[in-house]
Formats: sequence, C-alpha cells, structure tokens
Amino acid sequence: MAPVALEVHDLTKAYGGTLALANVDFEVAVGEIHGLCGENGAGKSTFVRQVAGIEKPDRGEINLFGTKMPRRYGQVDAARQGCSFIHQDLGLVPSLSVADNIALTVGYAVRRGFIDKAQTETLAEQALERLGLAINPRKMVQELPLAERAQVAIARAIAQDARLIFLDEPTASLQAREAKALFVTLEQLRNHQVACVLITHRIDEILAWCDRVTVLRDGRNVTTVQTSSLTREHLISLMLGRDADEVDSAPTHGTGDVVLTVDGLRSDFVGPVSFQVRAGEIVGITGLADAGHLELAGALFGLSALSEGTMQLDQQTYSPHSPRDAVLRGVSFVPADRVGEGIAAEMTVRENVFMNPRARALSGVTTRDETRILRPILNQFDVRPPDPNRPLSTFSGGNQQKVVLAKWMWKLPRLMILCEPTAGVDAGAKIEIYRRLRDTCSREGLAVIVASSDYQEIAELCTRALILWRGHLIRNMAETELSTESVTEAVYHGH
Amino acid sequence: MAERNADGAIVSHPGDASGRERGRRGLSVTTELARFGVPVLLILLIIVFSSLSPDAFFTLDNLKATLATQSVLVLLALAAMVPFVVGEFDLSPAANASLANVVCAGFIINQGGSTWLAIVLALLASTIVGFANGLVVVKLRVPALIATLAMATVLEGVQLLYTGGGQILGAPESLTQIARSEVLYLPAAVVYAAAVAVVAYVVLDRRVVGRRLYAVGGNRRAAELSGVPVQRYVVGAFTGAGVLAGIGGVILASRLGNATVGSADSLLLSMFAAVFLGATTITPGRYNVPGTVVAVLFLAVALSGMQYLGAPVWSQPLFNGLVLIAAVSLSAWMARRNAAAARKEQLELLSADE
Repeated sequence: MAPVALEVHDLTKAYGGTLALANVDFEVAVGEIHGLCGENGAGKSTFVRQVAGIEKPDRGEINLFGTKMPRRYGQVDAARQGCSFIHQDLGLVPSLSVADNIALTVGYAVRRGFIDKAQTETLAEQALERLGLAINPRKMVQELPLAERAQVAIARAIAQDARLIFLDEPTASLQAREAKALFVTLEQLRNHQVACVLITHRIDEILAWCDRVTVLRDGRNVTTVQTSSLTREHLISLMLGRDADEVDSAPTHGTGDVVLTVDGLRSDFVGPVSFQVRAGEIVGITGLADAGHLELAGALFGLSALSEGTMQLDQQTYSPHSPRDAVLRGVSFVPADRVGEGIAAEMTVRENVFMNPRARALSGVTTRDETRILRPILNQFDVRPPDPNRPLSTFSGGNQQKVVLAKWMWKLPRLMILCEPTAGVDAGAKIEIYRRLRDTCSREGLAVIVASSDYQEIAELCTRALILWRGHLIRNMAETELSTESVTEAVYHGH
Repeated sequence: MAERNADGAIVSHPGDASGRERGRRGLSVTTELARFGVPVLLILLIIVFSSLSPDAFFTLDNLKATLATQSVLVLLALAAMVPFVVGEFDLSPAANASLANVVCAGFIINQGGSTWLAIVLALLASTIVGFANGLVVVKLRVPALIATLAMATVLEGVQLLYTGGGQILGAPESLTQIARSEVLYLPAAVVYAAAVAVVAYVVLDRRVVGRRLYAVGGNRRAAELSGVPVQRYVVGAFTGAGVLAGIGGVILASRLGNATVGSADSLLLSMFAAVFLGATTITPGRYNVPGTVVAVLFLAVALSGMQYLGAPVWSQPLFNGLVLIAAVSLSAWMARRNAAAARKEQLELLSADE
C-alpha cells in the first residue's frame, strides 16, 4: 500500500444541534484518486471545510502526510502541508491570462523589480507541460473551454507543489467528452505522487476513474470500498441507505381539471416539449445539469421567450412575456437561487411576503395591519421564530424557504412553479415543506411543477415526473413508477 | 423547551430557558438605541449649545434662520435619497436644482414671464431631467453613477448657455416672497420643505408604490419575479428625484432672489452625508425620510452651535466627515452584531428539534 496522504479520524462537527459530521474516518493514499459521494446534505462540503481548515471540528484528528495537525489548524496550515482545494468555480480570474492566473498564486518571475513577462509565461508553460497540457499561457482564461480552465486550475495547484488536491464537482458543467479530457489529466497526477479527492454526483465517473470511493450519508462514513468491486446499483443504494425495493412511495392524489397545457414548446435550451398539468398534481421535471429542466420552468413563467409552441392556462391562451404577466395570471415562481433571486434578505419577513401583489390586495399598507395578518400565517407555515418584522437574513435557509412558500401560498395561486425547493434546507424544514405542498395540492387542488435536480425529492414529493435529456422530454413516469432509484436510472440512462 | 400545540403553533413554557429571551431583550435595547441615536443626540446638542451660549444660540430668530437655510438641503437630500431606495446612485440633484433655479429666476427676469409660469417651467425641466436619467440607466444600461455624473455636467453646460456665465439679478418680490414670507410663524421655505417631506414619507412608507420601491432596492431580481415592473419603478425613482430637486431649486431661487450657474452645487456633499447618516437612524439600515430630515437638522445644529462657540471654520468639514464615518461604521457593526445574535438563535431553534 502506498503511503497515506490524508488520514482523518473520528471527525465530528455539529451545527447547532444537528450533527453534520459524526465520527468520520477517512483515508487517501498517495497516488490515489478517491471518490467522495453522498446525497445533497450528506456532509461532503462540511467534511471538506474541516480538512481545509475553514472551520474547526468539534472533535477528531487530521493527519497530513504522517503529521498530526494541531488544534489551531487553519487554512494556511493546510496550504503549507500541500493541500489544494479546487471548487466548482475554479478560483480563476477570467479576464486575466493563463500565465497571470498561475503567477497570482505561484508568484511572478521578476527581473530588476519588474515583472519578467516572457519568463512568467515560460514558467506557466512548464507548469502546464508537467500535466501534458498544451494550453497557450497567453490566452485569457475566459477564452478557454471549461475543461481547459479546470486543467489550468489543476496545473496551478501542481505548480504550487500541492500533494493533495480536492476537486469539488469539477465536471458538473462539462460535456462527457470534456469530462474525459479532465480525467486524463487527473490520471497524470498519479505520476506526480499526488493524492486526489474527487467530490462528484456522477456515479459513472466514480466507477470509471476512482480507485476507491467513500460514501457519506447523514454525516457518517457509510463505507469506503474499492470501485472495482462495485456496481452502479450498489453504489446508489449505499448513498440512499436502503435497497431499491423498500422505497416509500408518495401518497396518491386525486387529480382535477387540466390547469396548464404545454404544446410543442421550444425555447433557447429546451424543446420541443408537450405536457399537461392538472389541478392537484405535483409534476416533477428533472434531469442532469444540462437537461434544461430549470430552463423549462423559467420558460413557463415568461423568463425566456418561446421560439415555438403554445401554452394554455385554464383553457385560455397563456403567453407570458415577463414574470409580471405570469404573476397576474395566478402563476407563482420560486427560483432556485433563494438568496440571489428569491428573497430580499435585508428586508423583513413581512415585506417579503407582501411583495406578492396578490397578498398585497388583502391588507392595508400599515405595518401594524400586516403584522397582525401575518403572525398566524407564519405559525401555520411553521416559520421559526414567527416574527414578521425580522430581516429575513437572520433566518436559517429552511425558515427562509418557508417564508417564500408562505408568500406565494397563503393567497393561493393557480399554478405554482418551484425550482430546487429544498436546496440548502435542513431536514426538518424539508419535511415540513413537502407536507405543506402535498396538503395544499390534494385539498385545495393547487397545480404544482417542481423542477429539481434532487432525484429523491422528485420521487418523494411528486405525483408524476417528466425526465428531460438535453432539452428533450424522454420519459413520463407515473406515480407508481417513482422511486429514487428509478428516477436516477432514467436520468442517467437518458435514451 | 418549546413545543408545538395542536394547531402547530409554538408554545413556550414560562419557566424554560430564558437565556434566549434575555438575549433578545439585550438585542432590542441596542436596536432601540440605534434607531433613536441621532434624534437623541440632536436634542442633547440643542440643550448643550443653548446652555453654553444661552443668549446667542437658542433664540427664536436663530432657530428660524437655521431651519430656513436647511430647507433647500432637506429637499435635495430627499432627492438624493429616492434613487438610493431602489439601489441606484444619483449624482445630479444638485445640478438639477441649480437648473431649476436658473430657469425660474431667468424666465421671470430675462423673459419677463409670470412667476407661476416660471415655477411650472422650472419644475417641468427638473422632472424631465430626472425622467431622462431613469431612461438612460434603464434603457441604455449606463451605470447610474456615470449617467447622472454626465447629466450633471450637461446641466452645467445648459445653465452656462442660458446665462452666459453671468448672474441673473433682481428677482421681483412675487418670487422672493414665496420662500421669505412667514406661514404659521415659520419661514415659508420651512413649511414647504416639511410638507414635501411628509408627502414623501407617506408615499414611501404608507403606499404600495413605496413598498415596491423598497422591494426593488432590496433585491431587484426577487421583485421582478414577484411581478413588480422593475424598470418602471427605477425610472419613477429618478423622476421623483427630479421633481424633488426641482422644488428645491425653486425655493432656492426664491430665497436667493437671483440665479447663478451651479448655485446648489455646494450642497452636493452635505446632501449625501445627510442621506447616509439618515440611513443609520429611525429605521436603521434603510434609507428613510424621517432619518434623512433628522440628519440634516443634526448636522446643521451641530455646525451652527460650533460656530456660536467660536470653532474655527476648518473644524466644520472635519466634523461633517468624521460624524459620517463614525455613524455608518457604528451601524454596520450593530448590523453584524444583530445578525450574529439572530444566527445563534436559529441554531438554538434547530437544536431544540433534535
């Protein structure tokens, strides 16, 4: 066995009362590519934050290359030990050249106090060559294809003498061919005696390229196994923590009239797509990152123009040119990026809720009236604390999302479109949000569309699922067919 | 700990962990202090200065004079504030007010026009300028700071063109008496400024329009996804700023009785100081009308008080600048503290679930 690069023992971290990491043991050998996987919220990023020295673990030991790290271990120590962390955004400056980006961390070549441009470029070229990359160091990073940008980030880490590299979802936005090029580069790392931890959702990549894989679930290390002994089904069941046959199915809903009819819709990334949504249905739209399910949800709300096709809402022509048109027709939209697009974080709960023009009509504009109206509603939606006059930024992600739901749901819309409704939401709030959506659907006949990349969510929440593949609708799964495994299968297998 | 009753409402038992309660009370004391810090300081200053120099400072005449001088600044500060509400910077209100001053006085003196028509023309000009600012920002996508800086420069050119660079002197009494007369024992200028401030407060705080404006400033994208026609509101905010600057310019024309190029330009920095200081008080963290008015008065009283006590001239801009830095950094610190306390509370609530 090769020498150990990173050894973690009994790592434990609590946020408030939730254990984000519980007694995690972990080990990566020099020259190994080690996969780290688990569902959203399984503790992957918490784990990385502890090892990177960004947060202090509550308990546990981190050994790097045989040296025990002290209690007061920080980001600088991690870097000194040769740890390098490459996040999805890569940490490159797009408007600077490749050579500049490498020199920013590695250092510029300097002659008589001035930057030696030629020498800096040569150094960058050498750093790239070490990984067998022929990228022009004079090119701007923004001109490079995504895969090459990731390669530059890796070459930069190597140039800094990194011995342990963490890659967080490096292939999330890459096409299959590009992803392959990136993995060929990662293979090169073995020759440089570098250890690599790959955090990814793509099961195929783990099976194809990693030596071993560690599965995290609910903050625990479920297992670390050789990938050669794994099948994809086995790995999925390890991530989900149960076998395919014991999956709980969502409750059955009665369905009513057709609320939305989409006929031959085509927009920038999507189409042609045709489907219907009935009252009382929760229709999931899902797929891989490039499937276009979020774009489709946006198109239904007037966020992008339709190049072809028609829509009908309640048997009447529906062609929203802006979110305003959609809202006025009784369509609500919960965006995926809650903080960026969904809420005004520095404004109060009350102001956020009353941003909904339909909620508006029910009240006066006085703070006192609105506060009085809102308090019982916040209790109903289980917002904690149920205080209408606090800035939303002071609430946890789960409670913020409950406020967003309250904003749109207490004055019922006709159709509600939710994108990634439980991203960054704690487990308790997630259950509450699901319960609330299901209840309202079955009791009030609300029609709901959920665009989500969380296949478990699609399986547990939805009464029907539409699977997209590169913008095309490839499968319509009925409620009885829905399980996390079947959705995951459908999404990955595409055609 | 807290549990839920049959309706799903959270019930706290009276005897349970009161640490959280105490924490919150501590929080609210500092919050109240932040809200009323500037008004309380204002009152303290008035008391201190009038006791230090009883016969000179706190006389009715002095008070009236201070208020009258500040009336134009109040209007301009409000003009600067409204675009901030939607998250945009407007550098042009001072130049726009100067324009209104020149148009108003010029039309009466040079063209021999009637006073009322002059006022209407001046307000119209300023409104158009504000509207144009909004269009340039929204439709041409020019960053507001640049657009309004350019507009201010253009307006200076227009004033030079009209006046030829000289002073326009000799406004008739029909113009000067508008601001100089007294209404209800107060200088008329003060009454106008107060009335405009009340209207601005009602619109921003008690009308749907105001809520929408704040929503656009809070998160433009979220407001848009909520069905707010964001572009219209941004143009509206700039137009509103134009109207307010125009009123300020007309009152300035009436108080001065003449017109020169850039007559309101010297107020540029003071008006921003008042807006930022105002945002730290009454409703801290938010640009607001009462806060802005109180801030104008606070700075005015502090400065005129120092004058009466014989403080040298150089100490005044020094004071203005330092107060601004102190107030804004204090409120930023307070906001961080409140956020940290609230985060802790959310974690406690989460752990109560376990």
